[in-house]
Order: sequence, then C-alpha cells, then structure tokens
Amino acid sequence: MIALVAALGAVAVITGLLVFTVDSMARATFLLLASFVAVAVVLIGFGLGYLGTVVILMMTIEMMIMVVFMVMLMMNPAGLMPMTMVHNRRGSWAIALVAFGLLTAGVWLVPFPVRASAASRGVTSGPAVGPDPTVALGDALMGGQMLTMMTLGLALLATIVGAVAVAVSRR
Amino acid sequence: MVLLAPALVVVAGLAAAAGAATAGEGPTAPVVETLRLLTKQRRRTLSDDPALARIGLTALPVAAVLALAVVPLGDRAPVDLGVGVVWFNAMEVVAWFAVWVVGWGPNAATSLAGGYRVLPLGLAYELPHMLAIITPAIAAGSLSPGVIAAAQHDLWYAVWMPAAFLLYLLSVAAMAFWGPFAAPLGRDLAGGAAAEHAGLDRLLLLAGRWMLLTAAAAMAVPLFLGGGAPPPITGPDPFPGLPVLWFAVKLVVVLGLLLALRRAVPMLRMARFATLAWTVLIPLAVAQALVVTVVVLP
Amino acid sequence: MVLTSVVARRPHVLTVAPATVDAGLRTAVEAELARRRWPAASSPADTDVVLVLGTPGPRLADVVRSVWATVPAPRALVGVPTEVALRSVLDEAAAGLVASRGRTSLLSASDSNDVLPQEVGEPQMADLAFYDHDGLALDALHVAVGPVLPHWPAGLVAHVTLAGDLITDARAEVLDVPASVGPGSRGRSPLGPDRTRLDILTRVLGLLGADHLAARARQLRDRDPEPGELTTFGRRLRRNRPLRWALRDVPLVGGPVEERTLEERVANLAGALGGSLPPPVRPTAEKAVQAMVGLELGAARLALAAMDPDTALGAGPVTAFTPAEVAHQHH
Repeated sequence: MIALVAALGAVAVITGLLVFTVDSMARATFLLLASFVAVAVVLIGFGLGYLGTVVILMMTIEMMIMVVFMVMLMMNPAGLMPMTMVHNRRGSWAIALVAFGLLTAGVWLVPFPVRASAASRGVTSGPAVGPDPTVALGDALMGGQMLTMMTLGLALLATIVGAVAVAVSRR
Repeated sequence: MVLLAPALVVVAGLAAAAGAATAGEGPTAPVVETLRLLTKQRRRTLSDDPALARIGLTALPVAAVLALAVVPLGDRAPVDLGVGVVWFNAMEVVAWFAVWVVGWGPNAATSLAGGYRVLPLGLAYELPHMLAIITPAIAAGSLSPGVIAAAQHDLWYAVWMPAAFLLYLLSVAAMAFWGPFAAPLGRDLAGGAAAEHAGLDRLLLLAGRWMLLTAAAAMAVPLFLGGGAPPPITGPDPFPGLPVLWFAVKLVVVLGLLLALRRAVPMLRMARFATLAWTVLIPLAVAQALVVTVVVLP
Repeated sequence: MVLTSVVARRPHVLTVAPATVDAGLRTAVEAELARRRWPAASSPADTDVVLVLGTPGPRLADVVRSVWATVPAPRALVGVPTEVALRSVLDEAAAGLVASRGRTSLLSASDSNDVLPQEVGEPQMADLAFYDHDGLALDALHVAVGPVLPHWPAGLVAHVTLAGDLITDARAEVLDVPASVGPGSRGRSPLGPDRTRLDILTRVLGLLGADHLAARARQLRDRDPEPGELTTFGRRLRRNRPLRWALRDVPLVGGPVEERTLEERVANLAGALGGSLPPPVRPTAEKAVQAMVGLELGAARLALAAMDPDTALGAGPVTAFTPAEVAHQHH
C-alpha cells in the first residue's frame, strides 16, 4: 500500500514537472490531468472515495473548460506551432517556493484529528474505518450552512439559465 | 472482474449488430467492419501528435470498462464502490478528454473541429445528466448503485421520476457521442475526430463508442429500473436466483429505446442542442430533483 | 487471405467526380453501391476503394493523386468512365482489394506500407489573425474545403477562412471548369424536377445522419416512383418534427425570397415532390459558397447541400477574396 502511494506520488510529481517541459498545449493539458488523477487515486487509496473521485471528475471537466479558451483563442493543433509553457520565471519560482513551504509547514503544524477507536489501539495511521467518510466530509464542509449553500447554488444556477435564455432570445 | 472487459466487448458488439440491423445493414456488418479495420494499415498525417491521439484512443474503451466496473450486473457490482455514481460520472467525462485529443492529434482542420465539438456537447448535456443521476441517489439516500437498485423494490424510479429517466437516456447517447449527438464524428466533417484515423486506431474509437454506450445503458438498470430484481408487478420472481437475467432483459430494453431515439431524431447541431439543454433540460432536471427531494425529506 | 476476402465483401468507397460528370452516371453509381451495401467512405482514412467517375481534368487528377497517397492499404483505385462498365469495374475493385492492389489503376501509385505522408491540398494550420466583433484577436485558418467530401457538390473547392469552426470568408472554385458568368441554372435540370429534388434531399438528409430517410429519398430518385409515393414521402418529411427542429436556425443568404432559411428550402423541396412543378433553383457555385459565410461548419455544409450549386457551369461571377489580416503576436 505504501509502495503504491509512493509510486503514484512520484507519478504526480513527475507529470507535474513535465507540464513545463513540453511545447504543446494539448500535451501540457494531458500531463496536468495525469498528475491530478494520480493524486486522486492516492486519495481513493486512503479510503476517501468521494474526494478522490470528485477530483478526477472536476479536474477532467476543468481541463476541458481550459480547452474552450484554447478554441476561442487559437486553432493550432499538434506540434505545428510550438509554444513555451513557462512565463515570468522568477516570479513563478518565488510563488512556487512560498506555496510549497506553506503547504509543507501545514502538514506538520496542523493538528490532525485522531480517530478515537484507532487511538485506543495505539494506531495513528491507516485507512479510515467507522462513519461514512462522504457524510463526514459533507458535514465538515457545509455543516450548519447547508441551507444557505443550497439556496445560493440554486440562485446561481437560475441566474445562469436566465442569462442564457435572454441571450438566446435576443438573437 | 477479469471477464468484465471481454463481456463488455461482446455485449457492445451485439448492440452494434442490432444497430446495423435497424439501419438497414446486415447484422454481421460490425464483425466484417472489425476484421476490415484490423487488416487495415494505420495512418499518420504531417506534423501530427500520434502519441497523444493514441492515449485518447486507448482511454476510450478503458474508461468504458472502468465505468461498467461499478454497475451492479445483477445483484452485485464487480467493484462495490460506495460512491459508484460519482465514479461512473468521472469515467464518462474522461471520454470527453479522449475524443478531444483524438481530434487534436492528427493536425487537420476537420478532425480538430470534430474534437472541439465535444466541448459544447459535454457542457450542454453534463448538467442535466448530473442532476438526473443524483435524483435517484437522493431518493435512495446513497451514492452506491447497488443500494439505489435495492431501494426500488416497491416502485421503479423510472416510474416516479420519469423526467430524470428521460434525461438520463438522452445523456447516455450524448456521452457516447452517438445517434443525435454524433456531431463530433459527424459526416459533415468527413468523420470529424475520426476523419484521419485508420486501422486499429479507428477500431478503438468506433468500438470504444459502442462500449461507452453499452456501459452507460447498463447504469440505467440499477438507477431507474430496479437492478436485477423482477418488475414489482409480477409478484413472486419467476426466475429466482437469476438477477443477471433480469439485468440483461432490462439492458436490452434500454438499448432498444436508444436505437429508436437514433432513428427518430437526426443529428443535432451543437448550437441547437446547447440552447435546448440550457433553456429547457436543466430547468427540467432541477425541477425533477426538487420534487424528489421534497417528497423524500424526512 | 480468408480475412481479406471477407473484408472485400463490404469495402468503403470514396467516390470522386469531376464537375462535368454526367448526372445519370453519378446516380447509377450511387444506386449500384447501395445495392451492393458498400458504404460510402467518409474520408480518405476510411477508404478501401477510390472510385473516379467520368474523365477527371488535370486539377482533379492532382487531387486524386494526393488523396490516393493517403489511403491506407489494402486499397484499390478504379475509374468508371461510363455506366456500361460499372458492374465489372466494381467487381474488379473487390478483386483488387483481395490482391491488395488496384489492377485498373488510373494513375501509377506505389503501394508502400510505410507511414503515409499528408500531401499538399490537405488542410494546413495557419496563424494569421483577425479581430472579431468583440475586438479579440483570433487565429484564422485558411482551408480548402472539398472536393473529396461526403455529399459535396462535384468538383467544387471552397477556399474558406475559419475562426474556430466559424466561416468568416469564402470563395468558390470549380476544378477544371472555367469560371463562367452565367446566371446559374434556372431551368437546367439533367435529372428532371423531382429527381433533382430527391437528389438534394438525399444529400441534406445524409449530412444530417437521417440515414433511413436519406436511403428512401435515394431509392425514389433511382427508380420510377408513382406520384403517390412521392407526395407521401414529401408529406412524411414535412411532418417530421425532429427533422424540422434540427434544420432550424440556418439562413440561406442569396436564396430565392421564399427560401431564406434552410427549413423553408427543405420544406419547399419536400412539398413540391410529385407536383409536376418546375425544377428547383440551383444557384451558381460562388453564390452558394457565399451563403456559407457567417455559419459554423456544420450549418454551412447543410446550407451548401440544400442550395446544391450547379458546378458544371463553373464557379460563376467571383468576388475578390480579401481576408482582413493583421499581424498577430503569438505567446
């Protein structure tokens, strides 16, 4: 299990690095997606099925939304018009290092909750057992704000649909 | 689990044969076509990206098999994932990515335009589709297809949430870019994303499409038609202990409905379908989900 | 060997016709292919047999040569100069497929099994840009569309500028036919009024993927139908609501007043079936290609197929082709 997680972690890091070495937007998109999918499989391996699956779902759709902007701005497929994936090297390095430092510090500084049953047995790692992690996740994210979030979500969707309807009828 | 991929290939082949028969061709056409593509030379174009295109071509049948893995074929799913409905949805959007790179790879205008057509198609069908698959999950209180199927022993969800069932059927055709939603592989673009692919490459694309269609049709059985259980009205099960049989019968019915849909509705231009989806189908799906939620709220 | 003979039973055929092709020959070939259940190839990649009708001129012969170079093996290239030779030529093509070589090659082409290069004449990507109405700099693509496409007018090449899949400019060229200044073909109809209508409907329905309706239209075109059958089919098309819905929202710029949209054009073609009315108006190639400007590729293909320009008369009066280009810095 540990070997598998380590291998997937390595895949995620390597494909993530490769994003900046290729000269085609399609390849960069594929590598970025591969990196995210590797992370998602790690999450599923940790017993967080919902979180991992949603990462695959959302990241794939997100990449496709990115492609919409490629359609709008350029029509150069394959390798005919190579382009670099790196801009503003210094600033990027600074942002990347600060973000990496913050996240790494977070891993060690945030007090992770220890499951009561596991703690009593003296175990502090391993896949989650006990209440459904999907329910726990929903509760942790939404909690008492569920009604607010649902209302807001519906209002937002209604706005989008209304805007589309108006735009279509004006044509 | 090991038998899942060959089983999907066989059932998808039978579905393709039925499709050929309803289109006025011989039912052996898919077999002849497969042999033809297997003996045919593969093909490349100038300044192309074959590696990326072939990743997409391979991803298509793989995504179909992985999507089917969480569908209870009878009473039990090959992989009993608690969040099967979400997993199924994730695998199906992988197909968008696959078709897009398949169209992008060859570096040709018609192929590229075909690959790009997946975007308006996907963005139009995905929201009604998500709402349609979440509605049975709300009613059953679970994201596991097995639990959803078991929750229908009194009443099929196809009966008490008909709008969600119809939207799901539409999105099955859309996610396999097939029938009325075949625009990414449209004849007007000389085959669209498929235009420049020959031999094994083309076979992967066309077979992957039938496999996706079959896998998605199979998911309709646990979500809306009670899974491997007999219809609630028949009383005692005439074939006890054979949930696979009931599953197969229901799958045939769903595939039959899809073939009828293809015959009744011509290929839609993406501008037409996107307008329909955003102004009619999404509000319909939200209304259906709301009604179900209000009814099942404790 | 057994494999190849099975495959030769259902080869995909790419038909190439010069603009001046005899309409009778073209319809006879389509009828014979349908009788044998040989599907039409959608692109060179999908092709087993390249079938050249009539006598191609030098420009079209060049196109055939470059298309043939991209057809994957096993393949066969045959010519059908006249209707008499049709059946024997098709049998020969099937036999040639088994032997993996076209015996009646029009042009000498080597059957290499290597990777096939893409020849000139195939679409190429460009990075010339223009500004759209929102002021966004977009990539523009100059593409020659045709003459080897499913349901495409014989011998026509449309030189179009594409922004995404939107046609922003277009110019017609008819291969091997000098651009005439004739007024189109009002009254010229080698197939007769109803068969011309059915011919147009076959193409429009074929492009729409309404295969069983397209097959019915072609059947009625290729035999002598009762007038009752024609009116029944016309009524069936006009009452087909999904079909009408799918045809909506495509303007036909430059068409006759009563046919300003694709929906009206198809309704009129279907409604006039079996009514002994004069043949439908078929514009010049240039006029029909101009109607594609402002449309997305799919809608543009439908518009062109429905207008069905008479390419035998040349492109017609040609307007100057001036894409609005500006320098565009790529990032």
